[in-house]
Amino acid sequence: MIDKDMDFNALEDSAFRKLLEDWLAANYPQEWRQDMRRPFRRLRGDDVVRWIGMQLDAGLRCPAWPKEYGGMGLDFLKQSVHQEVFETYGVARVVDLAEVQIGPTLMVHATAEQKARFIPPMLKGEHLWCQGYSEPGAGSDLASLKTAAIVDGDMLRVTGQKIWTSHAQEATHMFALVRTSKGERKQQGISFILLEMDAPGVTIRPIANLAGEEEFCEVFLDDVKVPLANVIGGLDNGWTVAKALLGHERVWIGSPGLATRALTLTRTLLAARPHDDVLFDAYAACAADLHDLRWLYRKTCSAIAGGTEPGVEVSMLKVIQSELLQRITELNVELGGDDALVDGDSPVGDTVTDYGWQYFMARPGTIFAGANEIQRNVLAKAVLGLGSK
Amino acid sequence: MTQANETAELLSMVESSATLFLDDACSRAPGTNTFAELWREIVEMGLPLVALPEDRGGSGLGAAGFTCVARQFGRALVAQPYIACGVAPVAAIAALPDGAFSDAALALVADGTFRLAFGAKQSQAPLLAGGRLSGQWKLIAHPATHLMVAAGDALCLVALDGAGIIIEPHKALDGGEIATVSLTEAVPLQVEQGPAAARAGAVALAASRLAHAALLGGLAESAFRQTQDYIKTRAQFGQTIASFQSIQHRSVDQFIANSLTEASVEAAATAFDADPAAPATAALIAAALARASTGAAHVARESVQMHGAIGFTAEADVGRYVRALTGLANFHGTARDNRRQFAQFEDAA
Repeated sequence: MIDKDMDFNALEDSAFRKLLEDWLAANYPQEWRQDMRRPFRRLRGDDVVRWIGMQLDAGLRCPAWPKEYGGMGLDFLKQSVHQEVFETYGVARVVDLAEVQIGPTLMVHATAEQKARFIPPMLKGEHLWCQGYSEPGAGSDLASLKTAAIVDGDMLRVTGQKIWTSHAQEATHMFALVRTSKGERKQQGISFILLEMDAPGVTIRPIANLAGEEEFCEVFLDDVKVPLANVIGGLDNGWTVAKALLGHERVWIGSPGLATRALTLTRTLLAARPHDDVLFDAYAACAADLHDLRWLYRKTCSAIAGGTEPGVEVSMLKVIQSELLQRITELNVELGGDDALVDGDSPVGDTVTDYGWQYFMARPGTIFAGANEIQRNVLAKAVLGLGSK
Repeated sequence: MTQANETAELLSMVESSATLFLDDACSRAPGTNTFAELWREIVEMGLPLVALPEDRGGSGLGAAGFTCVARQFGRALVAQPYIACGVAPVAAIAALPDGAFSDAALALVADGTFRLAFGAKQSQAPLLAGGRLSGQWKLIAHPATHLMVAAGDALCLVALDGAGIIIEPHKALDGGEIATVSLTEAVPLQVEQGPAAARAGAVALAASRLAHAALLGGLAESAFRQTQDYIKTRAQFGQTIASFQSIQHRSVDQFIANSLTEASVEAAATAFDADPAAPATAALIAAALARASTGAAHVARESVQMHGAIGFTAEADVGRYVRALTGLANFHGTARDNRRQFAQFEDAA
């Protein structure tokens, strides 16, 4: 049994691991588990709310949040155990921006009043959040965003367009970066605001992706009124607010969990056919790459757990992980051969898979959360000292 | 201070002193840093024995120690057979029960006037019959004074100045020399036979492979560093070539490759220290070798390219590294072979 007032950090890692594993085995719905058909399953809508509720009741909500905000208060090492257990078990992913982004941002930058207004509902899953950052003209060059917010009394009037907003259809709220004034540099004059998705003037248009799912959206903002009380960190300070967190997020995004799932499919596909040296070698290349990523990831996590703050170097994990995932899913399509033409389920041995789905769902990894080209720019500059002249 | 902290500090000290010594060694005039001369100094510094427990005259640092030192040998590109004459025989000694064989071997390694080379590569299957050893081994560190080789389930210690011994040296791409050693009914100084000897031979080979991955990592790191220094100074079109994005991205990719090699070698070293003869350890060593091998070829290729025409000259310093990387990348199997070995083990596990 999990006691919400437990000091999880005082537990032995193995005891903590067992606590989580036992709870998952007893409570996690089988139909949500990642499998050969949906190796990177993501929960949507009502399932997300139900899952948040389950974790809340069990004392497992928001592992990384401090206890004072209702989280588990896990230290870094316990957080990595938590992640490993959940990934190994096949717990479906959740786009939980409340837990990993907006919650921590508010903890650092919001006023007490703002925290009181927004943190408890996001903890309980009463508010679901989406992110309004990218625009058609502002992707990697996010600072060039144009959605404008004009001060009018005690309101901001917001007009513009956001794109690639994941799960906007199900969100109750959006945190967004908008332009409130013109500064010398484009990063100046940006504000971080919180708006309600059912406010007049908000229009959501889902976009179908290559896998045929409508996971992200365009969000049109037409003179949407947002109270100034919903500006976080003060006007024109949005760029700083948005950049401030993402310390450990940079680490988790490099986790070998997804690639491990994908490689399990590779093994399943290989086992369903006669042995072939060339194909085995291709698999071996991916297996060896995954092995090395796993050890680099563990080494990074150990260093952080030992007190070394993560540096820019850590973002190489994301580059490695996302590209490896693409290689593996591509190999899986190759192994599918002509069966990969099927848009939907294909039998493999005594299970089924969906060749296209797993391949397509691996494509965004090198594009979102900082395109790998940009990551390489940053690594070159900050780690290798290679400048612009 | 905790045991872990003490070990980390000792490892750091060993690394620093090895680095200092090796940097000095490679700055000496060619001809003055021969195998024979430098080996004496290497032994005096205790580098071959870093892995042995303290009560046997070592530093007690295990594979963490010998991979650290091997990496420095690679980094400095000192063409010294640290692995063949230091790491491998010492790993065999550590794996053997106390006795005449291990005492004799240890005495040879601890005395810098001798050079006991472990022969990892058979070119003709060895035969031990009637107390006499025949066979042929290639790519042996040269000039060695003694040889340690496996023959079936026996381990043999042979002096290389007796009857029935032919040594044919060749120049190696790492700047040193290697020899083919042929034995015809040579009489070993010592023979150890049985399961313990077979195991010790296997452990010596595993240690050679692991240290080699570390060596490749050091070579690659150094070649990469030199190339990075070059691109920051070389200018064309009014700017340094380091400012071009394709060069920057390719630099990052090499940095990533080197980081992965380091992590993989550390993982294998940890496994070796836990159980040097375990099949899982062999698998991790194979993975580390595959990674180091791929990285070696990658960095060698990029080092030449990023230097432009100069990269193709014998004179450029980086050229020595490119030659060494090329010659050593597949010394203990190709990346493909090693990944296959690793994946087969993982699959069965």
